[in-house]
Amino acid sequence: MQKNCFWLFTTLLFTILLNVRAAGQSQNITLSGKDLTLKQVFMAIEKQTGYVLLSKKNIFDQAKKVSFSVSGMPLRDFLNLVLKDQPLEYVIEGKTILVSRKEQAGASPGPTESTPSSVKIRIVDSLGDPLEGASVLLNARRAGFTDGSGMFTVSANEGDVVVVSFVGYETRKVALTAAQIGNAFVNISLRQSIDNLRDVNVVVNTGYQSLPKERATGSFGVVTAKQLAQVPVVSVLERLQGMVPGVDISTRTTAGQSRNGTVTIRGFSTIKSSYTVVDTVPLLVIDGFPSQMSIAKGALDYLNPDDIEQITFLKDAAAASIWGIQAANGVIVVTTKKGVRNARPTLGFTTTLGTSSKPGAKYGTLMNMKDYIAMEKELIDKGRLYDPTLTTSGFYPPNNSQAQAIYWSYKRGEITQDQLDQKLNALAAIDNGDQIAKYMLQSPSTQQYNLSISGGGTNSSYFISGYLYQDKRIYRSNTNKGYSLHAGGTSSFLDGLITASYDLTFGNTRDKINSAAVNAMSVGDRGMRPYDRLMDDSGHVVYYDEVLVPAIARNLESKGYLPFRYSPIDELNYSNTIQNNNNFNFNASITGKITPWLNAVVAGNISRTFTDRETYWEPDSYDARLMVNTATSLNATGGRVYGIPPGGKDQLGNTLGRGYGVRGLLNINKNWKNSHQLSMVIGSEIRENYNRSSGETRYGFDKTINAFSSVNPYVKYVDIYGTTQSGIGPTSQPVAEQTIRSMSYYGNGAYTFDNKYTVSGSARFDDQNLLGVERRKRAIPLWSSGVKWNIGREDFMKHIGWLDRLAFRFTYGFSGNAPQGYAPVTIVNLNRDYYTGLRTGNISTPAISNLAWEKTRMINYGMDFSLFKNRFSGSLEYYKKYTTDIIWQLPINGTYGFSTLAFNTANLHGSGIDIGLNVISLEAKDWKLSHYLNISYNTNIIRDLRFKKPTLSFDRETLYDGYPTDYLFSFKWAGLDSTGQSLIADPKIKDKTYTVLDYPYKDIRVYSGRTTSPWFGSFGNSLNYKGLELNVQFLYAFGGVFRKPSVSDVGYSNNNYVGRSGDLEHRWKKPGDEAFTNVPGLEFGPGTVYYTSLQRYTQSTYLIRSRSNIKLQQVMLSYPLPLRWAQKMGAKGVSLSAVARNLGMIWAANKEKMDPDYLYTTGNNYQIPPIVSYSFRVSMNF
Amino acid sequence: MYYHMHSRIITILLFAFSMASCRKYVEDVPVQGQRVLVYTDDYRALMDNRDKQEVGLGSAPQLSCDDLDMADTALASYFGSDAIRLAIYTWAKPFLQVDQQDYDWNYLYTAMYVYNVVINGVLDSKGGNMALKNDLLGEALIQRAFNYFILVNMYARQYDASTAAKDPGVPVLLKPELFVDLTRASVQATYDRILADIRQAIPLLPNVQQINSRAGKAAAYALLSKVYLNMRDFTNAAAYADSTLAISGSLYDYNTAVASTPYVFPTQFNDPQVILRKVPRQLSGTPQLSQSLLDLLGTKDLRYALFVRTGNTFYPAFSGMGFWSRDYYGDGSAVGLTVNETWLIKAECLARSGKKDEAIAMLNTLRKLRFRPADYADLTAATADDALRLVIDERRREFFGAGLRWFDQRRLDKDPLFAKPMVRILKGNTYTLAPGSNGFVFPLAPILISQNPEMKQNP
Repeated sequence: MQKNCFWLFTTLLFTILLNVRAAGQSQNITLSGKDLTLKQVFMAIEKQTGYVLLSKKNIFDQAKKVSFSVSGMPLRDFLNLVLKDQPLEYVIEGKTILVSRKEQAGASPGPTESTPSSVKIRIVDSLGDPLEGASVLLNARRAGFTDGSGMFTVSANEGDVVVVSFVGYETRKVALTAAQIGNAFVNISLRQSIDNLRDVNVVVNTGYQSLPKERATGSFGVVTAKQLAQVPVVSVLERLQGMVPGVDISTRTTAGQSRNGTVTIRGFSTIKSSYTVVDTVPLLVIDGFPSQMSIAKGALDYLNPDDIEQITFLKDAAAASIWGIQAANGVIVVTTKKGVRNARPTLGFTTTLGTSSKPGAKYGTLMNMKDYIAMEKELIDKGRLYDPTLTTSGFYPPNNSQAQAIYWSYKRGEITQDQLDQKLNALAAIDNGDQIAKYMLQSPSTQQYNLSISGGGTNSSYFISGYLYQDKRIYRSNTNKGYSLHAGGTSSFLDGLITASYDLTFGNTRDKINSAAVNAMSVGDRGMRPYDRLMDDSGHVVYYDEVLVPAIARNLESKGYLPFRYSPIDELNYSNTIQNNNNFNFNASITGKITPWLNAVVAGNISRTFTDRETYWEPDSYDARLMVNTATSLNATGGRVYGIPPGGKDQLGNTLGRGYGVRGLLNINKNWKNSHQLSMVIGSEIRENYNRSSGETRYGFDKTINAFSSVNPYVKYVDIYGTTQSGIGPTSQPVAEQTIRSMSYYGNGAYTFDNKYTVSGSARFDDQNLLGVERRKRAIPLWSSGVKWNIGREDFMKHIGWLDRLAFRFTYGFSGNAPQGYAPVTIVNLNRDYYTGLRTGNISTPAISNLAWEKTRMINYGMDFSLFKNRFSGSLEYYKKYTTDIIWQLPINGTYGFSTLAFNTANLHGSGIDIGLNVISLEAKDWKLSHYLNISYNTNIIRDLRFKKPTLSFDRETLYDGYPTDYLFSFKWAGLDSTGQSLIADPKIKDKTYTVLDYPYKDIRVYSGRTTSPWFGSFGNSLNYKGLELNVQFLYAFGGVFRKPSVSDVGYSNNNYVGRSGDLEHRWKKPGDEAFTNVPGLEFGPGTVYYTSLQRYTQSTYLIRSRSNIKLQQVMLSYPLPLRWAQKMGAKGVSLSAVARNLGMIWAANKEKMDPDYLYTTGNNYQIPPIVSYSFRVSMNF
Repeated sequence: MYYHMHSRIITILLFAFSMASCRKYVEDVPVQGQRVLVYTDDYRALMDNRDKQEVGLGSAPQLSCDDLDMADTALASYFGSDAIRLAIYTWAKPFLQVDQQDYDWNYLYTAMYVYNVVINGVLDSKGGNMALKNDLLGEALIQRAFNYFILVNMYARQYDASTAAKDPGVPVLLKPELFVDLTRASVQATYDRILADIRQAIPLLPNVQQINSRAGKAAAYALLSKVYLNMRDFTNAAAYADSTLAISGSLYDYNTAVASTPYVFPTQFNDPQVILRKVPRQLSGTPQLSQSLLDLLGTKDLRYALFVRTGNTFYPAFSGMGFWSRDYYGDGSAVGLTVNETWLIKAECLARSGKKDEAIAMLNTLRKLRFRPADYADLTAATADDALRLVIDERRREFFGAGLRWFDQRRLDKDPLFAKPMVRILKGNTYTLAPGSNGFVFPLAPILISQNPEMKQNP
């Protein structure tokens, strides 16, 4: 059935295209009349075919009137007929009919009778740089295009009119003077059109259609290739940071992970929970088709930043609702560069080299070494730790730290007080921070190369590019590499009636992840204590024992166990995870012109992603040695019994994604008498996304010969501690598959009257297999509509000279979100009973048949303005968002078999402001100083009486009425009591405090604020002097709070590392200290509850800080080389740029001056501060 | 050209509407990557999921019955620190606060959802033969009947033929539906459903299953026997006890368990006495055994040797004796259907029908397996009532600690011979459970009633 259906669909599309072809041949004229002037005739042509006339003024003055009667006559035949006996000739260029006087007509209207002279015309921009490819018309006849030096030669007489035009510049008309003819040289400089500078002529792309921003009612944010090129860093996300109001981009990376980042458009439209699978990232659309890979999974890494022509952010419902249920989080539409017709081949080469300052391993305040050792002593004295060498045989305690071992040997009486002091002092003299930085970290660097060729003939164009990058990450032995290839082209047939275009991209990324550095710097088992050196003075690697005390380890090694020694430096060479991602994408479309204003488009897309991930623990790696050792026991005769075969371990994971989409749509672009403009698209599409993943683990692996041992996953074995383990566990993961299918119908249209009033509407009907609910609830139409009033164009505003543009917009609409994982069928998890060995099943999701989409209603008010000849321009927007029917679990009667069940129930109220302002404060011949300010505000709140309840649990999945989803509640701090333990105050009862022995649990916390800053944005300044441009960008955030990381749990096991947090130094030590410190003491034993004390302290109001800060994000310098210099290199254009990023915080509200985006966690021993990075870029065109 | 437009537009509309017929396109693939319950084998797997089905009774019966007595003050304060446990222990209603879940109830009903899924779906499942489907249907019916039997005996009044039609029982759900009326069926209707389910299941089941977590005919008969005993239909109870014992009749000799040191006790899977394996919901902390029980048990009894330990072996420690449950031998107490229980049902029915010697003979057969030969002595009874008392005492000795005693207390509350007030003293307060008291009926969790007010609370 599916197949039949699909073929029916495709066949019909082709039928349409055949019709298009027929239509193309009949650009016909039906007209009859007596004594018609040519003016009338051409008006009729324009009306019937949309072909417009371009000619000198009064060209028809001497033309004869005509009489005829034709019906369905082809245009060219008709023109031949009409102009047969006239002193005129014509050329059809695209959709323009150029009419000029016949040269041999002799009846020249020119004021002078002379033979034409050869005149050189040089076309330059306002800086004097030549413009290549500018179009030159002589007396309304196409003369040609300028060459690389902006030159073009014509034969002209005095008084002839030269019209020069170039994309993005104001068209100029010059009547040649006698002097110019005499000089045989004319210099024409074109001014960049003001319209083009600011978004008047900006075209927004919804993925389905392009329309001028001027006529768009919705909220769009546009970033052009030029803007992207100004920030020469590798990541597209970094380039976009701060550019668009309402778009929050975080490029913070996580330790041990590959490059990543997040984008949020106007906050969240849903609430995440552990039981719903719902996207919170915006939909990414590349060249009209949704990317199979989401932004969260790194889709933007596959894009060559130099291939991007434009990125459009669809922010409100009117902009995004064309994408239906996928659009609740906004849409990011990327269009890639295409070749240009009638252009000579251009070779572009760009390279970006980036480097960074040397990273250090210290950030924030740290305890000094003496205090750190004193704290370890205190833990031993307080009985928190035990002496691992005194334990009875058969139990192997984890090793302790160097300082602890020394102190224990003193306590055992093996060393004297003097020796103890001497040894501990020697230890305290070491601080391995520098070694960590030297051996485990490196300056992140990046190299990026891009090569492209583009061009086109009269009927086709092409664009081919290749891209290569290589990054070194801050943690040693971590790299990212990647490349992508892109080939695209268009060809048109039948006089441009049919246009076929295609795009083929292949991208590869290869990430190498090594966790040695992260492990060494964390407080986990493999962390280095701050006095643990990595390398000794003579340059030898220092080894440590971690899981066993040295004596036991050496003893076991003598019995044939593998070495237990551990060094982070060695591990840099081992246990790498290599992840290879490949992404292939093919788009093709055929556009047929049915009428001049109606196109039919059939487009298709195929994509494949395949990822293989391999983690190989070499036999010599610490991971593999430890794995084998801990699974090995000794039998009665002292022989080793292996639970896991000796050797390495190899973990393989594969994912495959494949998708296709087929779409048919009609594109209407009709303009009546320049006062009615209609652009519309209607269409339907089907899409399928299939994903599969699988994985396996091999033991006893040796990669040099690719040999491995077979294991039985369920054979019990005895481990090193004598405990019986239930087995290695499964060596293969189940194959997981998922198919998402959708089918949609959609329409989107905008009608503009008189260039002043625009109304728009959009509707989309989505049907998807995700929520397998009743179609009635599942396939609901999502729609939007909007109006725009270009009040600046009204006559009554015309007299206001300083007002260039003023428009008001209003939109309203719905978009949706489709959580996954619910179905009207019973879903089971299968397992195996450990005792009976029987297969067991569990109902993981009951058959639920009452779920539907989550719906987001959005209202947007917008104003666009431009004043004083664009010296001051901008847009202001205010929006409201109401998401309803968020799938949320509510309690149901346990009698039904479940005590909670998912319902379409929760609501989220959001609102916000987006402001973008541009000011040109100085504009002189060579100088231009401009500024921009982007202000975004976004907030959300839950208003739902069912969530009006006492505050108890603060996990992210507990909602409270009247609070935002990112709330932060804290204990009201009341200092320390005389035992050094925390005291908290009752938020309601005055002077009532609780000690750690009290356990109040309801409504005991106070609201501290939101964990994200509601106000954020950027402020930039740009100074341009003769093309040399200096840009300074600041990022700011206001509002929101964070908890200052402070003291971490000291644990009670020997290998539980304690962080070096500076606050710990100020801990309570003796009664009376509570007068001047708030850091709880290390108090254990009767009358103390250490964890409660610590937890109340770390979650107290005392540690709440404001997130507000201003950062100098980047300073950028760019310079396009003067042409003559470029030409010396044989290039048509060369530009250079340099950027420095992460230049630091220039203001922070919190008194510690911490960067809220780089909060170290208390779990870490060593912190990496944000480091300054520098990039240099050279871009050349040949 | 405009003339051609119409035909073109029609084509386009046709094309658009053709897609409407593609509805199947999005409906043919409901959920992939997840296992949809379709195959008979998966129904088998559902029925073999111990985690969700092994609980045969909740914590309330264990705490309410006279097996326990928190005489030790330390233990009393430990147990008393939990308001829920304290309420149950002192038969003080309500047990639960407004927003607290009754896990005893929820657990049994969670399993009920699975049974209803199987009962309503297994015959249409794919890939299994009819015998397997019938077997699964039969098992699910027995399991459902078992759960309703436990539920109605926890949350409703003891069956009394004269009032059963009016006494509220429990909501009887027969389909896996998530939004239906939860009005409580009467006790009679609940029992009727239990009996109907068992009768429907009997022809579908093999005599015994390969593993005793699955119900066979023996389980069906044993359950019938137990249900009829509760309904005081001693004739039927005896008849079905016979049917059960004809299939599974072997008793386990506890001398085997104490033959080695430390003692070993077979898990329920390996215990020939277990017909249908069920365990009680685990209590946190070990309660103290009551003096009346210890007196009845004596110290020579192997059941004392196996299942009683001094309080200092437990956490928290206490003085006196505690229940060394079967958990310490690797499995929970057998609170499902057992040969020894059916054996004693039969003995009780014999005693009640006046056949005192036959009843005592059965008792002695069992008791021989509960004492070391040196410690064993035959019991004798002068009258049928004596014999009945001995049977009831033996039941108490045979099943102590795990909560089964509570159901006997409820049942015997209808028996003038046995009905007597039960008294507990905790922290100086005296609590009494008088015969005929509403304390024999556990309250429903208030949250259930607030969520579905059609459910009525117990008095």
